Amino acid sequence: MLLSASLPAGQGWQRPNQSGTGSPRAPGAWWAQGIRRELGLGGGSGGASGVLQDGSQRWDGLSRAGQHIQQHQDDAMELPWALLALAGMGAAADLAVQNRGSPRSLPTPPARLPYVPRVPPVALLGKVTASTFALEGPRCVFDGHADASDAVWLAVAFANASAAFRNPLSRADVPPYKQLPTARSYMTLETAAAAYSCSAPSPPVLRVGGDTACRDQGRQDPCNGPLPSPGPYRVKFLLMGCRGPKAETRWSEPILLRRAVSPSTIDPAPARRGSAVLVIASILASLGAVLATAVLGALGAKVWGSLCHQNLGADAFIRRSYRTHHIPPALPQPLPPGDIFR
Amino acid sequence: MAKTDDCVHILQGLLVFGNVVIGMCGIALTAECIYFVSNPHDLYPLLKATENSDIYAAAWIGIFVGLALFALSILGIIGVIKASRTLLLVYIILMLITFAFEMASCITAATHQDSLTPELFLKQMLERYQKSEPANNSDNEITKTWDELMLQNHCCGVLGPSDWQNYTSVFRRTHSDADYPWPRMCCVLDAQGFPVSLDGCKLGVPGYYNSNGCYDAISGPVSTHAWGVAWFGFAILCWTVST
Repeated sequence: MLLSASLPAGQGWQRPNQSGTGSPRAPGAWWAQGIRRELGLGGGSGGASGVLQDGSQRWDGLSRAGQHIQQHQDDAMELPWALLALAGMGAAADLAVQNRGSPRSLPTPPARLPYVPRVPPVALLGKVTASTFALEGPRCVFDGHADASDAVWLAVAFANASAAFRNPLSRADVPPYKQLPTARSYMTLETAAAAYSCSAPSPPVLRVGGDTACRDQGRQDPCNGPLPSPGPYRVKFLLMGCRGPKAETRWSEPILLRRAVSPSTIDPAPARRGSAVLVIASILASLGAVLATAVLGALGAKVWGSLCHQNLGADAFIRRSYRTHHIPPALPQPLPPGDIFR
Repeated sequence: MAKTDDCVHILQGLLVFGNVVIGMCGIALTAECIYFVSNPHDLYPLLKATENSDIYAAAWIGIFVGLALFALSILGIIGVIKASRTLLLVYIILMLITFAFEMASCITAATHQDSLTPELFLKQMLERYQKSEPANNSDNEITKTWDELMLQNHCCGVLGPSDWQNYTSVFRRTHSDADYPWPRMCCVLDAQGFPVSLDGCKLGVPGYYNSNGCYDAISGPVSTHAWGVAWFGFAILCWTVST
């Protein structure tokens, strides 16, 4: 029930007074207007609105669906047809067309797969850089939906523009890389669906933004160019067949790229003086003080000794180098009379 | 008297021994500092670029202090043997002066060692590695030094390859982030010098790039030299004072 998912609660085809523009012509007319209003209001989610790209096509489809519903009502075809019309606008129209045999048909909306793309959880240092990011390969996801000739694309959009993304109807409508700044989304990494099948050895990691050559040379092919800004991006995988999108995965969580700061914010000064420097300085200073005291003490002792002119001989300093024997001064002996003439 | 005689002789013997040790240490200090000054190691360009040459000033002072210590030790021995008070006084005064110089050298070396933080090298690397218009020759030398450092030590950046992602740099101006999340030298290279797996290196697959930082490889040799000058001088001084 794709469309019913987008209906705000409480509104819907139960309320006959919903139409604001004049009195309803027929019981089924307000259904068409209700559908118009609801799709106009909430036409952003999933594949129900993804089938038709711009407003005019949507309007035609709506009026066509409305006509079919009215005809159903007129033919007194019951409620089941009306429910189908509301369930998926495109699917209902297609069914009605088949009943009516009308040659025009709306394409089926792509199957919505529950797989959510994500950045690989393994520890890779470069899985998110300033302009690239890595994704897990969608292995085995598209088996059962893909033919041999189909291609799997990656749709990348800014996170706030992912709701407005419309699946392209054909390969020619694929938004190219260089429209990313204006269209806020692009598609890239076109790969054959066989590369992601269960039986083939698919690449475990895809790198988005790794090709700088296509950016510089401006080739028209799908370009996996680097992302210009770190703003969060959301991605989804889209399986494109020759008739248009066949299946899609869900949008990923927003992926934010790295931002680099300027090196002028680095402060090269050491956080705090090393304790070793303090230890050395303090020990050396104290030793220097001891040595200086010793020198001053020695100088002082020498000066003191020369000033006092005493014959002590037992200095604290001099004791270290040499010691004098303390000999009391001997009294001069009287010379014998005979020594004078020796 | 004989006992004090013996004490004096023992003391003299100890002092002579102390002075001999000081003399030998002085010679050793001179030799070490001459080696350090004349034989700059490979990381010299990085140190020169930090414009902080205190370590070399400390080494030069160490040379002269070593010679002075040697001369003073001879003077001390002569003074002890001759028991001359004047000589010993001169010895002590000169030792004090030498002590002051060596103290300055030690503290300078230790302070300089402290200033070689990882942030200092990180800033220098980001601002000068692979500068496209090198202002002078030192920028080229820094680039060459870093390339050799990363190649030989199997390391990348100062703290790791994330340095190149966390900060903008002059390298980033010329090399786009998609092609060069980090320099090619950070990739594991084969014998010819090409990356073993360029995609693996760009994605950061373990085994294809160098995940360690180079700070340990830088600080190792520089620390050895700085501490060689600082602590050796410190030990000599302690011994001197104790003598």
